[in-house]
Amino acid sequence: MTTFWNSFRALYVRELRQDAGNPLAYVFVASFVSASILLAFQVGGLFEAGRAELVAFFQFLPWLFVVLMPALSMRAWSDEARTGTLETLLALPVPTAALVLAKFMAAWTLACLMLGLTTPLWLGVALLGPVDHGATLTAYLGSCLLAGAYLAIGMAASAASRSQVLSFVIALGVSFLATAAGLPLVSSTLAAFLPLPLTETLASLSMLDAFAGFERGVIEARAIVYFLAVMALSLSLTGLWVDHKREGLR
Amino acid sequence: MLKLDGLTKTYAGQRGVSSVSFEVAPGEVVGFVGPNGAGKTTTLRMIAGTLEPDQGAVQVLGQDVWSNREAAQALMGYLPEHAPLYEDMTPRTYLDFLLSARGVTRKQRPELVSQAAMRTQIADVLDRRIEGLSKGYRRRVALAGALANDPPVLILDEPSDGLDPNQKRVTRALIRELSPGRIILISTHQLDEVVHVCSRLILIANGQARADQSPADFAAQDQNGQIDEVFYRLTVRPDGAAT
Repeated sequence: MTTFWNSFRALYVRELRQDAGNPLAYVFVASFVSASILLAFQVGGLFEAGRAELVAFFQFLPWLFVVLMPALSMRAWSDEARTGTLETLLALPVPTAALVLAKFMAAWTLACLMLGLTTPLWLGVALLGPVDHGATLTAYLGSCLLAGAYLAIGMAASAASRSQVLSFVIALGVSFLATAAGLPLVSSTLAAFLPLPLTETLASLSMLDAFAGFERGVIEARAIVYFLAVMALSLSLTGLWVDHKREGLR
Repeated sequence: MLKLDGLTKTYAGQRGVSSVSFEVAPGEVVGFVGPNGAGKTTTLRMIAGTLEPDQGAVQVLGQDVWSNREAAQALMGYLPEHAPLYEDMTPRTYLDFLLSARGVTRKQRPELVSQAAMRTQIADVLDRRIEGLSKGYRRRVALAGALANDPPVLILDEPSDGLDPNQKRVTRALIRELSPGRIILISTHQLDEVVHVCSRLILIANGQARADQSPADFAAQDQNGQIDEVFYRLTVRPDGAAT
């Protein structure tokens, strides 16, 4: 276990330092903060609602994450494969799980920090009226889990391809499907072709469905299990793909 | 002992290696030579645990690379082909990262980094970003990464590629200095390097080992003692095609 955690920590710190020294990471964070706040005010009508709540902010997060999380994760493995440093990593006496977990946790840390930078919006709304702080905190917790789920999907896509662009497109496509499955429009369209129980099952597996409770300030065990399961499944796939590279690294 | 037993690797439609077997004892410096595409890098990757063989086994000091990969890799320092590096790091942070990932304590790391930097003569660029370094320095940073934790087995793929004659001289002297008690396997195109550094030569062509002897015995197969003539004869058919 000592080797696992030493390796994990070394790679986690390296990834975070790489992000900290990369100007694109700052552009990325600034884009997320501005886009999320802009959507909340311009599209969600945060002021027009006349209520001291952040529903207008949280309701757009899944869609923002569908685009931004694949962008954040796309270079995680594909860039290592492209530059050849993957071979350096694979030659280290390190369990594959430590490599996968370290890269994921570093990206997730950045995503949660990004979310943390939107908290002035929470404080601002609190100045205007009584805010349910517990519900808002719950929504932030759900947002972190949601970001983690999208990131894990992005990590798997990045491990599956040497091309950052292809990794992005795959992650975007899978994330979009996992989100859109919960839209009433998609459910009703699918219901025309598929049996109702199957349609309902697909809708219940959507990111939107799992996030809905958190948006309302409700912590549901089912939703937590869902997000953790998406992360576990995606990271297991990532590990399999990384190990698969040992079978044919060229 | 480094022991390869029937290592075989095939790629879809591409030549790999076929049933390569040999043993290397501590204290030996083995030059692994062959033409481009002969299977040198593929073999080294299978030893380093970054490429899984289709058949065969590799044992490093009694540890099987594929059934006990991490234990075997802990005994090896590996310089991959083209010496890939993290461009955003400095040599110091890069070496510290590699040592940290290998479980070396924070207290021990600065000493090992300095030692590797001194040996590979990169001390003057330790705090410069790798992306700004010359090819020679980059190669030496990668070499420092391979030997930073003072491993008993060194697997070096083209260690002097891209180095100027003076740097080559230093690198060869370093390999000779490191050789007592260590297993060193060097893949190279440079036959003069084998003569200067290696106690043994293994020639691989078309994925198969064709010769395994001392550089002197290898060269003696030519009446004028020209090692490159013997290399040519064993790797090129009379019609000029690669064997």
